[in-house]
Amino acid sequence: MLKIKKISSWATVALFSAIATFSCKKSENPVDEIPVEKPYIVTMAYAPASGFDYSYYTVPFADIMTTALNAKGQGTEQVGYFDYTKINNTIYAIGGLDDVKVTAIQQDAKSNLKEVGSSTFPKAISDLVEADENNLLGVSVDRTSNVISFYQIAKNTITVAKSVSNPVSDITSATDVGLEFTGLAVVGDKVFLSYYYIDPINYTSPNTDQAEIAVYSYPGLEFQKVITDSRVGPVGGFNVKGGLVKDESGNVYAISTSNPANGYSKSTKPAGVLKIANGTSTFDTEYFWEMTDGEILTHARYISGGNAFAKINATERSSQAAWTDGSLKAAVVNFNSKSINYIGGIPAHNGDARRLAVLIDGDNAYLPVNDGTNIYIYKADLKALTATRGAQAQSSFVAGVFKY
Amino acid sequence: MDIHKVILFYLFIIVCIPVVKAQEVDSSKVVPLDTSTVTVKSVFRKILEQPFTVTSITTNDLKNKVADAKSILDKVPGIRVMQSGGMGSDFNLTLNGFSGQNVKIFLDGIPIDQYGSSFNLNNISVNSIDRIDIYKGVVPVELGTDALGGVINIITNKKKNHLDLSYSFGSFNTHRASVNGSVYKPESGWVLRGSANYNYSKNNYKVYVPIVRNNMIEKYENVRRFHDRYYSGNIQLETGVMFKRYADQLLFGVIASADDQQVQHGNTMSTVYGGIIRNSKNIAGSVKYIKKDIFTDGLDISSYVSYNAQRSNIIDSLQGVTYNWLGETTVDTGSNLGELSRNYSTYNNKVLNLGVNLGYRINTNHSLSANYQFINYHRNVYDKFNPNKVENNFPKALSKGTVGLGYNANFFKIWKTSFFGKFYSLQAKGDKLVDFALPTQRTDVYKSNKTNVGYGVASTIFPLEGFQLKVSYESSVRMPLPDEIFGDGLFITANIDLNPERSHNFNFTFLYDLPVWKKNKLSFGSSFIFRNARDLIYRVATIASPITHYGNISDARTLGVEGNIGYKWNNLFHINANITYQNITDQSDFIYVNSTTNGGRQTNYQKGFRIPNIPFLFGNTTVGFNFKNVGLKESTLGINYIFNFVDEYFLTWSELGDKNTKKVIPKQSSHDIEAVYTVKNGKYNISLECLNVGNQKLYDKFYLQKPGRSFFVKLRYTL
Repeated sequence: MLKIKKISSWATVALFSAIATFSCKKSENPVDEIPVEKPYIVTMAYAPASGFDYSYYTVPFADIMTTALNAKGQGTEQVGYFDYTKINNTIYAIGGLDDVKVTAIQQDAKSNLKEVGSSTFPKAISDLVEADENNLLGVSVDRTSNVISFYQIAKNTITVAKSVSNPVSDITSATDVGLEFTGLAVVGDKVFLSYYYIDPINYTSPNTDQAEIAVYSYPGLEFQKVITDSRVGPVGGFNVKGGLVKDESGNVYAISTSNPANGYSKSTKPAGVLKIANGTSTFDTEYFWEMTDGEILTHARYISGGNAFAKINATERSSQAAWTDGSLKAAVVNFNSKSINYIGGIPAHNGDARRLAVLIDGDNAYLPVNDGTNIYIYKADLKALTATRGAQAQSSFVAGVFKY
Repeated sequence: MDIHKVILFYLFIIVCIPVVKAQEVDSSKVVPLDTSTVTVKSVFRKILEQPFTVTSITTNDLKNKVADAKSILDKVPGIRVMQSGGMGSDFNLTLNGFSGQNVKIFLDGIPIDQYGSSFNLNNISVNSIDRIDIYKGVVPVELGTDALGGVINIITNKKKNHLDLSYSFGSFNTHRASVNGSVYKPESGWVLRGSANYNYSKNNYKVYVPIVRNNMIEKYENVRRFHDRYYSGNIQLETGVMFKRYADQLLFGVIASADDQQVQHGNTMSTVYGGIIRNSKNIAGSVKYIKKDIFTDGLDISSYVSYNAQRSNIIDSLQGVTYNWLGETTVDTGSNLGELSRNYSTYNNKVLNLGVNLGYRINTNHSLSANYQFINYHRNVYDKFNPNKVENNFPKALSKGTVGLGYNANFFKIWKTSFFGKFYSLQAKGDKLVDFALPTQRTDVYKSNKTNVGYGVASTIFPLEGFQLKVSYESSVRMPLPDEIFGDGLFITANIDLNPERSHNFNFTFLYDLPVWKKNKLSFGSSFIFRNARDLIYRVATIASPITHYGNISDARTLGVEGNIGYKWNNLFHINANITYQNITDQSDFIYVNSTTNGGRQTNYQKGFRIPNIPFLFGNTTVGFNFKNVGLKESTLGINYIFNFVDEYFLTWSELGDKNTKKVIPKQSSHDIEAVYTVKNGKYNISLECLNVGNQKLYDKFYLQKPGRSFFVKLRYTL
């Protein structure tokens, strides 16, 4: 029986190889040279019927500027709470209905999106970043947990190569507060983890007097130290994940808002940006970009040369409505020159209190904007600082815009 | 494609009518049935002949079944009982697409939900049930309640002197024992009725599941469930006097029940638990008083008062432990996280319930009825592991009153009509956290008073012998619950302005029992159902902020047809089939997305889409033989074959996403076989059941797997 099985499986392999060889011979060009017909990928979320979470559809489109976008009859489906991030040439869907998975999605030559692997986790993954050439690093920080769990995930197989749990007591001895995750970055042999202190019962933020970042070793994932800086309050905000921004030289910028719009119950320090220079694991005392209240850098996607696509919160913190993630203006910021250049043609809007959904495509950025009634994709010219309104996204919100 | 099946079914019925009519003969030649059947039928008939769309199930044929009340209901057109596992597991009963608070279940006219999990459809034995009436959409005044979807009323056995003992056992270490009996002394009028039930199952049936090791789905395998043991017990006693000058019935009752259940998995089967436990204890007392012709001729009263105290626990006590389907654990050393959410919560519920029904017969053709129902509900929660949990510091109280008035008229002996109006009032009291997470945060006491009116009409006509047409309409109301108004004190914020849910319910039904011809009996019926529910209360979905609230957002429409057909020959052979098609669609123009980020109304892009996770086409067929005097004298042997069918349905909006990659609950058909052998006219009974003979993979919503092939034996003795 076993023998037959073996033979049949060999036969299957042989057959598939034959088909593969045959198919390869048929196509004259290598696969990656054929331009993909639908290179734009939009992840659209649809509201639940009842007592259920959103369902997400990651849909390829040829064009996102003209015809209204929807997921009718198209797109790969994910059900539950999901967060999407693209690293190299793979989109990772992080989340689940009541389990937690990291699922890798790739596009084939026929524009179809395919799930190419996944791993499962006991608790929600707070973020997933590139750690080295071959690995990703995932972290699970739960405001009620007394451990922080790191997962080193192999890029090609989406398998967990290593998992390490470190106690929260490395960072704080307080038992009545938990850690709210805000950012993760790996630079060389260091892991930087930003967070703020949260009351796990009523979500207030009791300590807003300094920025704190925990430093771990990589790939050992052992706790090393906590670095603090009292020029600003805590780094990052509730659920927006972008507290730490890494540039091409390995410098890390820590964005602090302590803004009620992003989960803080109070603000006691100015908003601003700090820097951890490449090769160091301390805050650069020479660098400080202090924000004017009412003009607070909240979301950023790094481009190059110190430039980042950014969203600036345009309301003063004292008159801010809690948890609104707004009102936001789109801009190009430069961390070196500490400048904000607003992009015209995009109305002020609220964010979704999620990871910033934006596609940087050369000199252009594509971003979904909820104008209060409808969601449109805007194409922003990052050089000219102008924008045009594109297609309407007919969904509850847009969780990501990507391109292959 | 689906609608085609329904049309085919209807064509089949239409084609049948002339064929059968051609075979009509003089009904006076009908051989009288034995008297016991006649009495059962007359009660049954009386229920069906009401103008309401009602299905009544007599459990006489079902008493030898291993099943519980819930699985009997699952065979009724328009009803789906979706379960999360084996015996005792959570179930969700949908009636024409409505579920939860919109389908109220009564036990002898008293709301059953107050008794909690240890005394519900899961654990009441079929042997203590005489009949189950299912009112669809339009509910008579006598069952005064707020429900959009309908009411299920379970009538317990009221036989005067009887004893019914049964024990069944079978697959998955399942045992059920039931004792029912009553004593009546005509001289003194004293009566004692009682029933006791015990249910136990390991529920260790095999499921095909992913085995997760080292954060990877290593393989899919058939494994036994390992943490799903369930037991429950209940005792129901009622004593008092009957047929006295001052009372036709004056009865004092007590119900005591308890259950204990291991929880195997979360909402889906991808999360496995090995330590979570739930249990509950419940005690209830009641007084019932019934008198005909009280004060004056034609004035009848039927009333009850009941008080119920219930305590239940949910315990998730393991720390940093994750189970996989093999029962293996991964321990995150040092972690304090529970399997789901670490807690040891105790819920204390106290419910006072009062009901009075008055009926006045003006003459033989006209009568009036009035109903008053009052319910007071109080709940508090304590979590031993998290004593400071904000939401538990706010006990909730609710009082709800319903007044119903009805007028019933009979015209020309063939036309019955009921007009009715219902008045609802609600007083809810709760505390509420204001200015959450801000320095001004404080707790305020909130009160909410609401009143509402519902009304309807139900009419039936008998144009031909055995042929009945029914039309009914109700503008029905479901009042909000305290949690919905007040939230949980934390992340579900209060919405004092929350309005009741409303629905226009319309039913059109015909039933036809053809005259018996040469021992052939054929009957069929069909209902058309329309529901337009507005202001449905649902928890507003959030994108990322932790705060939400309940809102009156959603509109839904149900268009459905149900049909059933039965044929019987000489009490030897019978076949019954029913089918339900229901198209339940989202009709909201807007949805409301989180009030803080991108708050407010948003176009509902799902308008017109079928609501996911509810089956839309299902049915079943029973074919059976009954043989007399097989082997022993006064014995019968019955053999039934049951075919169950549910068409595929989607876990999410069916219109969205690539059909090839979407999560679908596949089309399912399964087969059951049962044999019942009775001796001495039903004194001794033995039954054998094989459920899911083909060992098919069966699912409920969220892909939850149901047991494969299983065997059960039931022994029953009656006196």
